[in-house]
Amino acid sequence: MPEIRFIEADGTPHRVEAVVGQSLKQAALDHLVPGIIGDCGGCASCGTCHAYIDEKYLPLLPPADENEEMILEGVPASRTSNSRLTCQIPVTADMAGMEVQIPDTQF
Amino acid sequence: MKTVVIVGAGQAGSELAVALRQNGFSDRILLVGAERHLPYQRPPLSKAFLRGKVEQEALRTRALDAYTNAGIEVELDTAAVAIDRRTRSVALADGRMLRYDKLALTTGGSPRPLRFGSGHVAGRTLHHLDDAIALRQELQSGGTLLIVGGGFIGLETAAAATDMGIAVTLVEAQPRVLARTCPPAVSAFVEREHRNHGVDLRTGVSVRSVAQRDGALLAELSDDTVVRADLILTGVGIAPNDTLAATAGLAVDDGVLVDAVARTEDPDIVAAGDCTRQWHGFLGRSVRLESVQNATDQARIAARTLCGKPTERFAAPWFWSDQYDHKIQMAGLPQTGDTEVVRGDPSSNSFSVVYLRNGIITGLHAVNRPRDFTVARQLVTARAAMTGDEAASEDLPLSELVKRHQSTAERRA
Ligand SMILES: Cc1cc2nc3c(=O)[nH]c(=O)nc-3n(C[C@H](O)[C@H](O)[C@H](O)COP(=O)(O)OP(=O)(O)OC[C@H]3O[C@@H](n4cnc5c(N)ncnc54)[C@H](O)[C@@H]3O)c2cc1C
Ligand code: FES
Repeated sequence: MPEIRFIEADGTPHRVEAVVGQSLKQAALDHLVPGIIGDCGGCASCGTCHAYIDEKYLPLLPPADENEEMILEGVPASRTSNSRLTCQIPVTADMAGMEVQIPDTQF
Repeated sequence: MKTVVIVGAGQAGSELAVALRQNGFSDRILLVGAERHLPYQRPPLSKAFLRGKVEQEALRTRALDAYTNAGIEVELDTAAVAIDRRTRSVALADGRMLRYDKLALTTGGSPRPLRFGSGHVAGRTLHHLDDAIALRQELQSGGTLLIVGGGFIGLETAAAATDMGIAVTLVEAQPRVLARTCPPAVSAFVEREHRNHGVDLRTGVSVRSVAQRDGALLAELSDDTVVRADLILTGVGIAPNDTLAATAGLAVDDGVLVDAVARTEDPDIVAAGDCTRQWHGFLGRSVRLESVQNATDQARIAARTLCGKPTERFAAPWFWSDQYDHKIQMAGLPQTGDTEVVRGDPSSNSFSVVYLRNGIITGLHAVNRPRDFTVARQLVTARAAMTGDEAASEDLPLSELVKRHQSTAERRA
């Protein structure tokens, strides 16, 4: 169970023991991390699970597909090169120590 | 020690319990649900779950540990049968009484039953996980399916069943499917896709009566034809579960009446989700909404109200539906009288319909255009100005309009 650090927009950190194979979004929800909403349940329809991923770990992640790219284009918080939909990222063992920054808004 | 009792362990109930903790409530939380399952997401029931693409555990909104670790007591398979507001207690079906300081009603809705003619053969419905488990099993063993109702659930089920190799007939009494929720261009697209996939889709047709013969069902339709099916599923909408509230003397009107911050008229009782009719802070009108986004957003608002931090909502409502490989996404809640402007070619697989009222965007329905959808959600929330030409112009990405709106807003500030 890799430990992942979710950091709220105001700086509040949340250490999460994530389960390998579940999505980063589900890890956040199961640990009551505020700011990751995930209304569509992870089908990449809503964009409310947007977060900024630690640059160092980006190469470990499966690249965003075309649909994810399009959803990200419209997210209300600023979109950066490390913006991802956390529902599209399965947790892997080598994510231990990864930081995930939560945007200030999902709506 | 204060106790919050939440009646209804669905999408809203689960979110409300968690949001209480996130807002600093540290006393007792009891989440009571009539179903035997932990709170789960309903949308996949007519989509990936029915097709067998995801399993039951994946539907949970949160894992059991999430509740346990947060000190949220979950009582499943337990219906609440009465509320006594004087003694502030809830009676459960097993005879127990729960005392509350604050009560939250998140009881959702129930499918409207449809009975056909004098034969009184009721159609099946798809609302609960147990409905979906049973339906999936039956569909896996083949046969033919008659779906009554061309709303989202009927159409999604038609798509899933067709993918599973089932012969599907779908009848809709209105002249087009999705007549209540979508513009004609989107209805036409959806009808075309279902027919292309082999669904026998008939609009303007209703079921007159159903008879049972040799283990099969024979449905006589208003166009004088007879459809033979192994199974009939009706999807004609839900009615809010507001009886518990009404019996306790709370005001209901096709839904438990709540204000913009989820309060009922009793200061100790809030309500959220499908069971409510609410004054919507963003829309500025009274509405009854049935969507996950409404349920979870209103639940977070209700939790903040109970924690003494009432905040109205500021975002536009939205909804999505998946049918075959198509994504249909809707932002805003257009009203009759709003002008519809089509972006792109409605005879293709990718177009949007923009709604305008007095030069302001009020909604957008996107067919396979996730980019239009997410950007429009921001534009609708921002009440951005837009002309019909701009809405129709494919050369002008909607994201440019967001930038323009932001710079106008800054200049005004
Ligand atoms: C098949 C299907 C597909 C859908 N697809 C979509 C979609 O694609 N997108 C979307 O946005 N929305 C969709 N919806 C709608 C969405 O699921 C609902 O809007 C949402 O679940 C509402 O949440 P809720 O908590 O208000 O109600 P529910 O999730 O229905 O939960 C209410 C719970 O309260 C329980 N309850 C009721 N009365 C009592 C009582 N007296 N005591 C104890 N418990 C009680 C019920 O058993 C239920 O478990 C779909 C719904 C269905 C059925
Ligand atoms: S949960 Fe909706 S896009 Fe990730």
